[in-house]
Amino acid sequence: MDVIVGGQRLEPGTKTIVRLPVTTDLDGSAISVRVHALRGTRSGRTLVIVGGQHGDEWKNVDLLRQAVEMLDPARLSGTVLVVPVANPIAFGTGQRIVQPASDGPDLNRVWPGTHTWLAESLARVIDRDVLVHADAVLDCHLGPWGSAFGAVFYGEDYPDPSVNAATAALGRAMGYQALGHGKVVQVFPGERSLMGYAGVVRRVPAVGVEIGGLGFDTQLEAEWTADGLRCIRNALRHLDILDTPFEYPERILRYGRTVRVNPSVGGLLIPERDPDQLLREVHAGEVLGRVVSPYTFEDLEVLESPCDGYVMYLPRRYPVRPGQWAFGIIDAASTEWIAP
Amino acid sequence: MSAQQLPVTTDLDGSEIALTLHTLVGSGPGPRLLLTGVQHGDEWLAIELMRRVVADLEPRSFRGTLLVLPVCSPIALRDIVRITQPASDGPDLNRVYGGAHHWLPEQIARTIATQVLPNVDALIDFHFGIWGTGIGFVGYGIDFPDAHVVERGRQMALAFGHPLVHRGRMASHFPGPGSLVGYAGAQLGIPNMVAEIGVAGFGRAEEDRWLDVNLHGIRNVMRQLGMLDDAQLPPSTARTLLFDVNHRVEPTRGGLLLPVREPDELGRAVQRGDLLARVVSPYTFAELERLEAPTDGLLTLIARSYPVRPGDWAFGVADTNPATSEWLTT
Repeated sequence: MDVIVGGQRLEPGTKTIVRLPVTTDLDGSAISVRVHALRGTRSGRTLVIVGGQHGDEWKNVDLLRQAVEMLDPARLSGTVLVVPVANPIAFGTGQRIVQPASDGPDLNRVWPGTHTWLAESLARVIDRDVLVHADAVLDCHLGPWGSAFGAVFYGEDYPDPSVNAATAALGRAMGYQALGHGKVVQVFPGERSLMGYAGVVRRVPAVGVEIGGLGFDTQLEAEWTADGLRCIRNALRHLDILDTPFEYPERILRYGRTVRVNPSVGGLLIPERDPDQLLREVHAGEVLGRVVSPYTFEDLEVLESPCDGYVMYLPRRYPVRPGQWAFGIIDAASTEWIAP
Repeated sequence: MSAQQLPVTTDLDGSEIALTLHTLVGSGPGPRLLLTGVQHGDEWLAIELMRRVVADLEPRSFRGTLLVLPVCSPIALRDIVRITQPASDGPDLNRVYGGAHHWLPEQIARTIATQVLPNVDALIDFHFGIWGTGIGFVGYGIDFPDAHVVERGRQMALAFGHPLVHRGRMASHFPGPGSLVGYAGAQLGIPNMVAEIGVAGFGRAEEDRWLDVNLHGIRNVMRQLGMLDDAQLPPSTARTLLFDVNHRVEPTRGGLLLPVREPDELGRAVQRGDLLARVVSPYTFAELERLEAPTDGLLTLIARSYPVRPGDWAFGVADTNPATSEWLTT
């Protein structure tokens, strides 16, 4: 069966880079999205991996670069379509969003793209030429400079029960040590997020991958990248695209609720532990970090764990504005340890 | 010790913009040393350095006065960007000292020039690597009109104890007559030096290592100025390179910068032609550019893997050509 992406036929056993034109911007630049298309020598399902919806989460570029390098089309049964930078405009400026003056600046809130704002145009092209082929989707995010995340999560509120079941199975099969689940359609990130849209409209399982962060020591960041690659291999194995063995941890923490512990004031955030450890057990009332004034050096705020739980996201020392990423605590009351 | 608010102006959002100046008065009379940081809002690690200075330095332990201005541009810090007011014709605070207009950077510069600098006998202006980069050298101006000011700046820079010392035309060339050090040295006759030492985004241990170098350097300069009596810390190196030429090795194309060594080491010796990093396309992953050492020398700038636009900070090499440099044995 022919596989055609952006008008380009993919030959079996090849890696191809397809350029999808999107629009022309005010500075005259031609905006396009690149897709790395890896077609196996045998038929099978298609996994779409999307990174860089938010331009400040750029470490995924390197993760997906290594993923493309890692995968040999000769060993694939099916197709892998990788979009390393879904939002090149936001990436080019290091910002989360694109076109702040639009009423849809966050690409991950505008799928499948109705209007002609930049974010919506990007969504529309990726949907039309890439998502249309998907049997499953991985949506990659991670912490921007100063913060790190550690979870794979999936939605459980799609209208189609079979999508819910397939999504849960894919999330679990990825074998990351923390597995979140929740109402991604009704609550967060919403029906028009990539995960929401893929599950509701395209009716394919879509899992969020939030592993790693930026500004930590070299070895730690390399370990997070290795975790991300392992999860991608497991997803491919689950979909029978790759036949390598599953690589699993001993157990997985499945959870349903994360509490954000982010600063309410701006200042220099100083964590109690630096580097802290993802999935470290914490207790209610435990001091996680302090926000000090960059001017007087006084304590402005003490960040405490609101409950017993586990660290899902964490910061290093860095300057924060109100609401910025600091700690995410998995509520222990919402957890269970499960076998992979 | 006291922290004093120096009002600057009122901004469009209604906020009152002010500078916070810490004054640590020692146990007896002596020189007044000013430490300044965050003229550029993305060089925020200076805050942690200043916080440690204020927390650790016991006023009874020194003579004179230590003035600490941790954040010169609160507006640039708020947005973690280099410049203060992009739409102005003087957006960079460190280029507008002596300016007569009312743009935010010029009002800040004027506040510092009129309310802080008149009470100062010596100045260290700190700059740090921004996210993804590290910088490692100190410098002093060789082109101030008063030779005495030049010599005292030289003594401060050497006393700091860093092995790389840049001899710069600070007032006439870079960072120029409107920079803080250029203005203070050329217009006010205040001996000064710059300390450009620190990495950001390399992890806590690596970053703290370079913060400690700054802390030791400040104490060494205080000793040189006669503010501290305790023994000089041992030099961090047996030799000091005084250099005139610092080659920047920057990408000409945007992409993902992938250094050959990660983490690299400031001060590492390189040879002309050594590959320092590659720039790859974030889209096709194809190699776009190779960054090589343009000369034999020592690394004054390093980078970790991070996305760069054309001209962004990457590497710097202090030229060890004997015609433009000099080794001093400690």
